[in-house]
Amino acid sequence: MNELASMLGDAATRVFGNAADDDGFDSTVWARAEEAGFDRLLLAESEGGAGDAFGEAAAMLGSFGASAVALPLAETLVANWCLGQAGLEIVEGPKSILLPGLPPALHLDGSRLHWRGLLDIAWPASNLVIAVPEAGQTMIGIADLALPADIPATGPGGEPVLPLAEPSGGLLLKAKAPLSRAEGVPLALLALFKAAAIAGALNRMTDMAVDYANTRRQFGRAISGFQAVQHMLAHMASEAAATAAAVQFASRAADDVGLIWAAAIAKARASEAAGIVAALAHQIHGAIGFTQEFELHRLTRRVWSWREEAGNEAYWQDRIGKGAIAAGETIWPSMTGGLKL
Amino acid sequence: MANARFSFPAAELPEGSDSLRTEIRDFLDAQRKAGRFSPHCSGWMVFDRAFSQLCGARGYIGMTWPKKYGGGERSPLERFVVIEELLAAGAPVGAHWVGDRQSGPQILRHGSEELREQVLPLVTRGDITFAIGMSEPDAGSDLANIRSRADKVDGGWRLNGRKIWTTNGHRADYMIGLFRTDPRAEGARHAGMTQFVVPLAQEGITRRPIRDLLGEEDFAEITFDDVFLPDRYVLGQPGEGWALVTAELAYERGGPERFLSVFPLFAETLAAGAASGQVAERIIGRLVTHLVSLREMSMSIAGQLAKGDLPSLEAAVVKDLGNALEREMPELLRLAGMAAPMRGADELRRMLAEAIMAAPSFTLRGGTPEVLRGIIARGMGLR
Repeated sequence: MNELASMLGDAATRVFGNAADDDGFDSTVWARAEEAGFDRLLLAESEGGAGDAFGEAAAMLGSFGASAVALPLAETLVANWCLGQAGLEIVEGPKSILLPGLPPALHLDGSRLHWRGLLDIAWPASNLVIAVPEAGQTMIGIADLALPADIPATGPGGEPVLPLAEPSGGLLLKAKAPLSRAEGVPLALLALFKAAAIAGALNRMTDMAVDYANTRRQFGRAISGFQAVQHMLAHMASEAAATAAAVQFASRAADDVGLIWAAAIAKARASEAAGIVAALAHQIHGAIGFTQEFELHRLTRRVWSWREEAGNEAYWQDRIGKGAIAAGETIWPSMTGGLKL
Repeated sequence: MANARFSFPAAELPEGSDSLRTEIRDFLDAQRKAGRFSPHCSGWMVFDRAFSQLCGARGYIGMTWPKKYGGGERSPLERFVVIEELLAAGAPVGAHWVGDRQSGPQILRHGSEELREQVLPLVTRGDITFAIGMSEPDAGSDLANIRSRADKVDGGWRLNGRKIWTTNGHRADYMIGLFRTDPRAEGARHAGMTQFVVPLAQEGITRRPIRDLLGEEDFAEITFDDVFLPDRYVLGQPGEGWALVTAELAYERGGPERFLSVFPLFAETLAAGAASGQVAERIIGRLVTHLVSLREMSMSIAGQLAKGDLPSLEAAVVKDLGNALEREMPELLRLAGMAAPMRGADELRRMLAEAIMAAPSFTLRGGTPEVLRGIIARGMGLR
């Protein structure tokens, strides 16, 4: 990990580490994150950011994940990157984001966005940033979102979700401009950041499980003395390590094509590991881990949401598998050199 | 971000790795087209003396060793490039694999200069094969339970006992064997053992190949009956065998053969166009994500070796995850590829049949998951 990544990881631990216990948007912690410049990290250096510092942002998201804070940090990071890349104004505040590749399909007609059925908007904010294909390029747009007094839905992680039907005439974009990067990059970035957050959370879950097993005594000994428990903990740690390795792999991507390939791998691996490690964490912690008063639930509930967002493991495995099957006999060079997904 | 308890820092492949990779890919393509070999799963277990000598001539054996012993003085990361290409291609590198991977390094680290000069150049040329003399009938996972003895005599040692499940034991020229040199002491079960380099073609050593469930004879039982071994064959100091064997196992466990053994079947499934449809896409895609993550971890281990570290904990993690992946790959590919396992049929079905049949051995050879998870747990401070 380079110095900037390390610094950001530490700074994020300080900002998020003492966050409140509840679900729902914590404006105090968000203000601290904004003050630290986290949401603007991927803006151009002339705008106070660090440019395409994707690996460094992933390191920051890792600490964020370990703290189990519920905030639209990844969403806002990617939204601001899209706005910056497209030369649009970077408005203040948290943002929701809609990206191509995930259903339902978005269709842009001039400045009006259309879709069928309900769009699930996680972390609905007054500003909604959209990336949508139009005539062979990706358009970045920003729209005002009218927020109802009560957001009806929540994911397991406690994030508010607004199921949005297309307003009459479509959703009006107040600004739009083309993105001169590969179409898959915005989704790949969000996927990478969710994977990084999962990686951080899985490490923290493993640490907690080790502490608990070393402390909890049953049958005259710490439960960490039982081989069955030791093997469960070893399994957790190995899955967490593989997830961190996949995120690290994606953090080193050299270009957009490489990023899309590597982020797909990282998100698929992280989403798969999340369920395994969360289940083992709860199994080790017993009944107390299943309560709200104990802190484990924040971590496990977050990863149950994060593993679904920006494409779950099935979504990315399907894409990677399609690419691998198409590669056919060139699969090994494709795997070592990267596949264009 | 770093996992606080395991260390898998990213490894940078050195300058020149791309051309090294191209060079070996071209070599393997040419060999395959010339009918010199056909891809095999676990190619690192396939014995082919001539092919090993070809590898030796091209500098693919002992790549990291000093030039004065025939080595290449190259980085463990360059070696990583070469071995992953050999494994992915399913090349028959079994005659030199153990010598290159662990026996040679063990002699380099712990053997006398005389022994190094005697043995290492032959390994780098691909001329000789090494076997691993650890397991015994009563000592598998519990390696410290070995009974084979080496008793001190004038000028050397007298060996008595048996080793079993010794890969290539019946074909190998040398074995690095762990023998008991002091009686077992209460509460000190890891003390009193010594590692020796043992030339196998000599009076008093009997070797019997053992047929496995595939009908192959890849491993053997070796009996030692009052075999004299001169002092110069001792590795390290008498009595410190356990420390030596533990370090050797770290070399044995963290490499890409621990997750690439079934890759030739995977590649053949795709090359033959046998996988199609959504179910297959998801299966194949998932396998790719596991292979790539494991490659990142294994490459990290090579990078750590390049820095002079010996990441035995990380090696245990890679082997455990890698072997689990190898166990499930034939099971998943039979569903993705819709091919019925069958030997004596086409390449794909033969490889599938043999992978299914060989699979139980993946989690038996070199350390079982049950043992590896115990090592990992100890590394996590749980024991």
